[in-house]
Amino acid sequence: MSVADPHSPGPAGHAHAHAAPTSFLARYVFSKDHKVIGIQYWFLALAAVMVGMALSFLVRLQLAYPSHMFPALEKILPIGFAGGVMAPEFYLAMVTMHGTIMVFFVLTTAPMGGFGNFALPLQIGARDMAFPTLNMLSYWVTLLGFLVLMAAFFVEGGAPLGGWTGYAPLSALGTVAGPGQGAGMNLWIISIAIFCVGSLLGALNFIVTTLGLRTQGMTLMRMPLTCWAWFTTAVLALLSFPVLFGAGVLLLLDRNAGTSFFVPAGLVISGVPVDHKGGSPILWQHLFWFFGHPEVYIAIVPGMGATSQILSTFARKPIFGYRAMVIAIFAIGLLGFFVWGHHMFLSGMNPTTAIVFSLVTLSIGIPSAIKTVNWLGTLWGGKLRFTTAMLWSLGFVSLFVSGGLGGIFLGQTSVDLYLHDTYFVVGHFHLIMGVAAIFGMFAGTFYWFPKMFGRMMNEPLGKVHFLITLLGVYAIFMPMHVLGILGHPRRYYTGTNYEYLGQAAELHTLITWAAFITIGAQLLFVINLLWSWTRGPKATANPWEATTLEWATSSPPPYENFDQDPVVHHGPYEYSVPGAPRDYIMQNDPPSAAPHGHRS
Amino acid sequence: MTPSSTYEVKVQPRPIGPPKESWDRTTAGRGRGPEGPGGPGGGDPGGSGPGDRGDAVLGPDPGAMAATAMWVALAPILMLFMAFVSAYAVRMGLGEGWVSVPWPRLLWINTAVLMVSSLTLERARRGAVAGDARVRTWLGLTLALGGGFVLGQIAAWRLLLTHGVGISTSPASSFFYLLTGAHAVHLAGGILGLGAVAVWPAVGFRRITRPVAIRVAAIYWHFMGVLWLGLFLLLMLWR
Repeated sequence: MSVADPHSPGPAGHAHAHAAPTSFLARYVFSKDHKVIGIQYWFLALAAVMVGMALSFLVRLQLAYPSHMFPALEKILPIGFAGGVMAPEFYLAMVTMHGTIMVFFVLTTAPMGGFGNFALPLQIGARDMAFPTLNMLSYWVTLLGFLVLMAAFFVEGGAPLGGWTGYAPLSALGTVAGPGQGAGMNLWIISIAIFCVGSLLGALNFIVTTLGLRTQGMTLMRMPLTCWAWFTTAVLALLSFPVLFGAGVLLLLDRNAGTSFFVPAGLVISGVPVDHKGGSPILWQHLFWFFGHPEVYIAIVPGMGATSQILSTFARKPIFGYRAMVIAIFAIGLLGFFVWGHHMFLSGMNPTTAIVFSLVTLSIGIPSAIKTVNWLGTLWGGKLRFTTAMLWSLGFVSLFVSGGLGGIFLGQTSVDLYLHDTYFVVGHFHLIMGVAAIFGMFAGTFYWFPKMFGRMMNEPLGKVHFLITLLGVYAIFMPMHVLGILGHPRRYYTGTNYEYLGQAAELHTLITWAAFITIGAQLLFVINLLWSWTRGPKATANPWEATTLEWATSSPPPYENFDQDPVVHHGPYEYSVPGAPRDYIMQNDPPSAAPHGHRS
Repeated sequence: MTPSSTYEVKVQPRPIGPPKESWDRTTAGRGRGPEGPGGPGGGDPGGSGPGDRGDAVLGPDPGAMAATAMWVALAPILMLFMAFVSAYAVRMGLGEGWVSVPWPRLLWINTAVLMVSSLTLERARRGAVAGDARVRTWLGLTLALGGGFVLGQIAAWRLLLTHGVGISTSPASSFFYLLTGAHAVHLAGGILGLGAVAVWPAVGFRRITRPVAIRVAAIYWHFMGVLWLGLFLLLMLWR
């Protein structure tokens, strides 16, 4: 095959006669360019995370200062703070909307829609996603879902208050179950259904693109681990979102068509008998968690991919055990479909069934450990470059381990009986699903920012932001494990009615102040973003001296991504190859770049 | 070899018919898609290049890409119905308040109509490959039969309603309306899609010819037929 320098201009140029659209609308708003769509998703997630964070601020305020008078807040939020004190319904609505916004419009939107859209076609040497129009549609559908969810704040009764899991029967009954369970809950379900459709369109595109649009020489086993991660995520989304969509349809029918899929007979809520024929609330839990557990991996698997990529780049070493990493990521995805029952140990489940779910759950520890050990193996003996992206990735590994260890407690039925629905669970899933995924996003942002915007981010500011955030999130979520062991139930508006929770008050205050400081520190990121976007030093094509194809084109890349379609001759992580002239060999370097006999 | 010859190999218009190496050109012979790309009538109508964003499909073989996308798209639809069907099984297992839905005989006719529509579509698909001039007639017939099925389903619902069986009458009736309704909505989507294929030159994407479009639509249509057979048997035998 070809041994010529793939950097030289070739006859392939003829295929690049397509000019970028010139109108502002076609170029930046209704764009079919995967790079623009990725950045749109990224900004949507940024907007959503601001809202979600503001809600968590209010939640933490209440938990540290229960029933405190806040006259200033009454002026801003007269309904939620009637009389200056936060209403219990308002608190529950904040918890519900915080979870929903974060899980769907941040943790699912940014890692997959944002970074995946931006980087996947670049990394496999394609000009775009397989179906550019569908891709544009998936973004706009997702945005519509977000707007519908936001509308729930403004309808009569306000936002729903049944938690992000929307457990039936409370979610199926209407306003009798609470003010936000009327119109707000309907909007919540519709928003999630719309979101499912957007995600499915995106996942379809990711899968077909990965299978069909890899450039010449880009075999599956030469794909960067990020691509494997997005591919796995897309498969998870493809198989789990339809189930959530279906559950949402049933719930809407129960609420609006008088069916009884989830509402048991003879239910009396607030003294009002409910007119239903006898459905099963547990059915909702099965359907919801069949989606809900893969969703955890939809959030975190792209972060694993980014971490693998970034650790290898900045350790200047090939990823340790590439093949094992691919298998592990698939194993995690596959096992993730058979563990939903561990969310339901206390639902009256048959103990034998529970043991099976427990064993499968614990077995996820094996591929997870493989990944962790391989990350450490990648770092071992490397020439580490502590860039900000590297620090966030190291933070990801740390959080993945500490969050994962909590999962080993909760995965055992006997321990879960005690810890279920306590703050232990809140601490656990925030560490592993929330914060670890967010760290993956920050790592990805600092790593790909030069490619996305053509400028470098400010490293010292990024490091200060990282340090405060790392210490902050541990200060927030580790004490929650202690609260859980203390027996502190989650979701409660206040613990002051329970004598044994008196000792929790100080911890709540500590957590709240740690949260306030961590939230405040995110301002550093916003400043860094705005400054770097406008004033940051111009980025070269390959500022990190990385190997994958997105660094083989200018920063930011041209409309068609590459001046000519790249031809791949090397594996994704050929760093510090003995005898090579540089300490990295790019994937599209000619075969002669590797010393004779080197296997790629 | 020079890079130019390497590239030209990639963009050459390829002959119609299997086998093609382009599906997974980097791992030739391995990892084939669910449908061998470029089956009868497949191939790359645009003939060259990976396309640009003005096209609906990128890639050197848009027909294979579209067919793969259709196969992949069936997975979430199957998952949706599996979720509904497992809910059906769970609810029926609970027993409480379960009243079997009276069986509308009309469903037999509807089922036959849908099965025949698959045959006429298959006739259209083969005709398109062979260059048969009556393709549009067969497509029209398929659309009419598909429309007839949906109208027949609506008639069956009305029949049930006149017998006082509505969506909220009993858990069994809720599931009956849910499963038949969800299928009808999906088939209605198929009618829209196939309608677009029937008037293809008007809405056609540059890189997808009508034979390819019919082939891709047929994947969906036949799947809807098989899915209905499954639902039909489930609702009839296990109520």
